[in-house]
Amino acid sequence: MSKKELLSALEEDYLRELINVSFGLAASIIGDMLNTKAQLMIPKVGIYPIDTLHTVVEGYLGSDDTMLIKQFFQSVLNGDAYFMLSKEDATKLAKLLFKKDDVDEKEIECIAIELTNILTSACIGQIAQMSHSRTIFLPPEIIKQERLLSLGIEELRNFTQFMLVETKLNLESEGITGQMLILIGEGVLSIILNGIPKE
Amino acid sequence: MTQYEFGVIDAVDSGIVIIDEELNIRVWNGWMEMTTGVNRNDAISKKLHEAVDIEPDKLATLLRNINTSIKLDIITFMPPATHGYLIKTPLKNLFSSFYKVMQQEIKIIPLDAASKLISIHINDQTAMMESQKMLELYNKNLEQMVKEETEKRMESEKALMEQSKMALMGDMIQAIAHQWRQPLNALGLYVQDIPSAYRAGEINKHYIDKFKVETMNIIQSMSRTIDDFRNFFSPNKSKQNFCVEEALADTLRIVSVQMQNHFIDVNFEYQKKHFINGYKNELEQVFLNLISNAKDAMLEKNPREMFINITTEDKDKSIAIHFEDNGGGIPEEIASRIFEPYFTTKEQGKGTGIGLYMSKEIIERHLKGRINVSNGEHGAKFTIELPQII
Repeated sequence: MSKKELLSALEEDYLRELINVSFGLAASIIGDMLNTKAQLMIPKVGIYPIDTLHTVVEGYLGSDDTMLIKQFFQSVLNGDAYFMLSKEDATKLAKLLFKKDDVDEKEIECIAIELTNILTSACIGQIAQMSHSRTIFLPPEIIKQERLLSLGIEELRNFTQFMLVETKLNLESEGITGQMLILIGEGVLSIILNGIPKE
Repeated sequence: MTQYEFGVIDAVDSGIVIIDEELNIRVWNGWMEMTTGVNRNDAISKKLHEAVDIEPDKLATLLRNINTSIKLDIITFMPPATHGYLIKTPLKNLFSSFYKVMQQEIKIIPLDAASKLISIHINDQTAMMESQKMLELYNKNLEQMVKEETEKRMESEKALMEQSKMALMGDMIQAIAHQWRQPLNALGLYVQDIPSAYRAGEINKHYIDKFKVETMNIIQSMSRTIDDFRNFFSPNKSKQNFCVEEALADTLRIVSVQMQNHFIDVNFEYQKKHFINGYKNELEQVFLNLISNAKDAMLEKNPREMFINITTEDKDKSIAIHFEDNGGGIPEEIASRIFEPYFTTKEQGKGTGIGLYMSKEIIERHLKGRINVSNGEHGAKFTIELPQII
């Protein structure tokens, strides 16, 4: 995968810690929801130039087994968040949530949407809090992979970078892996990193 | 809540219900009254699922979302695409082909962490969902239509390809006839010589060995001609990397005798070999088409000297193949139409008008190249450009 990291080690640590804090609470909610112990592993976080988006995304998408959920939000971060989750993992979660072995398509979509909402809201909410701004979220929606893969120059013109957050949800009996993509515009990164404590 | 605030909440065009953590209704706006038929005074102090009809699984989802909203202090959603609705509200005014119950988008908004108050916003999304369903249906029909049209086009292209091959077959049979006439004559002479050789007492081991070698050479040459033609007409098996110059040489071998018989000089020059990926016999079919058209044009004009110059040119990532004849060229007014199907300038019965159309299809669609025509110094000049393997 060809990608160019735009963060120093210190900045990466800060961002990872920021997101990890929000994930702590998110994990306890997910645990409550599924009635099991849940732990979100410390996420891998990276910021990449927007022109490498397709290369990075293609590494995760491609097969019909990956569900892609989009959530639009408005704040100082103004952007689109995408959550990628394998259908197999979403099915495992749906079985746990609905306490049955035979779950249907709607139930799988339902858990994928709830999980996305929890993780993106927690993560973006936490980042936005650092800039003391309010965030408005639109409902998450499941979209076809082509919609992300075919984003062209025109659609991406407001974005300069994207953040890739990769995490693993450890449940008592299962391990679920998901990736979150957050497209961000000019200047947003410096607002986020402004919170780094000065020596 | 002030009177103004309540006035706003009461007037909005969506349902607003404020409840506590136990689902006790605190605020019930005008939209809720109108839509559910439950009076504000009757609703307040009741639990939400007692005031209106909420199915058990939807109530469980609502409770889960309320819990998430309060604990994370975030808005949670129950989108209509996955949940359909929260409050079962039969449709009264809107005629819907798809839904009997109002489709709702639910937003669960935490109002106050201390008192754990929750505002539930309900938006009627039936019309939007109805449009989405219609769109899906149209898309499905459109996909089906595109699929059917593509299949039809592929069928018709296949038929045209066959037709084009059959037309070429006529030329080829002529070429075989030309190619075989001379060796058949030679074989005849060898056979005719046997009785006189016998009478002269010349038939001995040496005679028989010489007869065998020389007649077998002729037969092998005739057999090679058959192989060339068979390769040319065999169906495409798979794409392969092949040398363009070799494909040209194979084609020229097939038509060489025919060209000689018409006194047409075919000059083929190249600096280096170029390789491309595709179906070799399809490209050979294009070459044969262009050579055959050049021959017909020259025979019609009948200039004193007839020639076809073929050259290949390296163009970095592609290769250009030029075919130039001295058949007088193509009148400007028809130059733009010569690649159209069934367009021919030949006499009735002589041309099908599909050769150049198929050539363009093969070059552009199968080999991802391009073909164009211009008038050179003496006649038409066709140029094929193909992506080469570097």
